[in-house]
Amino acid sequence: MGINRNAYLRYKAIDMRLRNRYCSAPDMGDLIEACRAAIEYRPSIETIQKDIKLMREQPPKGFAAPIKFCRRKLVYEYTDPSYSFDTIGLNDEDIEGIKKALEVINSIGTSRVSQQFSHSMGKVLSAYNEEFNDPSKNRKIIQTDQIPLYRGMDHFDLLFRACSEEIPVSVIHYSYTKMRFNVTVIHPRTLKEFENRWYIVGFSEDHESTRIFGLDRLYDPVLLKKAFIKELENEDLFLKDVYGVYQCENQKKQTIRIQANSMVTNYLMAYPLHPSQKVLKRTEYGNSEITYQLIPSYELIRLFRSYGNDIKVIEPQWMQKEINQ
Amino acid sequence: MAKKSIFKKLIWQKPAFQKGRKNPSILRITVRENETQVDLGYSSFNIYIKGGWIRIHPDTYLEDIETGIHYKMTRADGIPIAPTQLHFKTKTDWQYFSLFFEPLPNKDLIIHFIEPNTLVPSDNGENFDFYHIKLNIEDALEEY
Repeated sequence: MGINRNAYLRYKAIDMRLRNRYCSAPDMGDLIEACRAAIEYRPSIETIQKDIKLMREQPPKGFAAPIKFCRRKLVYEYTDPSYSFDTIGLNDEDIEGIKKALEVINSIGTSRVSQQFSHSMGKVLSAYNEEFNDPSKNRKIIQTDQIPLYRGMDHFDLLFRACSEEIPVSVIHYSYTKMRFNVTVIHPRTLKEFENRWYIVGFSEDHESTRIFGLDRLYDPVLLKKAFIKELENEDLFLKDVYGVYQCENQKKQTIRIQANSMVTNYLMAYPLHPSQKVLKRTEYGNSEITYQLIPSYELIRLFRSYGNDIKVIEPQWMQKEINQ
Repeated sequence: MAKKSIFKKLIWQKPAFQKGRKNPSILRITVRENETQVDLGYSSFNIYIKGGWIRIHPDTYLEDIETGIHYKMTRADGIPIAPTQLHFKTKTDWQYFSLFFEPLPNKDLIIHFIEPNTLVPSDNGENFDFYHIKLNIEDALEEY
């Protein structure tokens, strides 16, 4: 049964109010007040009446809540005092789905995203371990990169909010290459992860263009009351048409053609570097010629270099020279 | 019900000043109702062994040049207060730090940032001073 979060919070509030033995049985006004506290707005009488009706329904439509209306006192009460909404179980399929999702989250490690997320998931995972812990299955099934907390991750929550609510941010940035500080206003659009490092993409007022900044180099971001600037047309340059993060200066999207030996070809066919990857030809020995439509980036050059003689860049010529240096 | 404050939290990025050091650089000044925050960035020097050290004088203050009123430093974040020093490990280190002062008024101001160099023994006179820092309200950003 699909219920939205607000409805679920109302059912919980009604249940808690009905089970509260320190207060007298609630009338309609008390239930509305209990729900108002839970969802931060005042639901109508009709909403609460519908909620009670649905709670009374038998599963799977409802929760079989034994709610009785006392006409003499005009109050609501449970006919079975031991009933609790908390004991309503998810069905087996729900539980299996949640268990699998939690296993994945547990394996990824919540520390690599935000503190808030980590804190919330910590609670869920504790509850999960208490409820479903099976000592015979304590072995970790999934292993992913485990990275320690690093500088700048404490800004994640604020920057996430700035992106989602479109709030400009004043940030102090330290450039590792120029070895100096700068301060600018970013109009952030997207948080991007590449090789376990987080970046923020947005329009930078100081640079008068869309830029990407590593979270590790940002200090003390402050949300601003200011009109938000969107420079949508350039976002693809940072998010779609590039492998990695830092583009080579003065380079546009272009065809990059490489020759790869059979071993590297197998890797690249299994794990394409980019959606634009096309294998043009393959020789009888498994070697191939592969093209990409990309803005050249330092990360791409670094990757090609890491393959040594197993990859040869054919096009563009300047990249060929750069890699052969 | 408590009365809502009309004090605007204003931010100046890279405020203009007449005379002062390039390192550290004044990156941002934020004027809030209860305090004023000055954010600075320092890159360690090539001329010093392992980049040298930094610290801030406890009597550092802001001065409103129109009224002569001094606004005392109340705390520092990211830099030790003298005589304690932060020693860099290399000539390429950097340090971002914030100094907090008594609150400045919410109006156009020209201020000095003064770090005295006379009270702490062994100070070599390389204090962090900035003169005639312009804080015009129309140039300011407003904190959310």
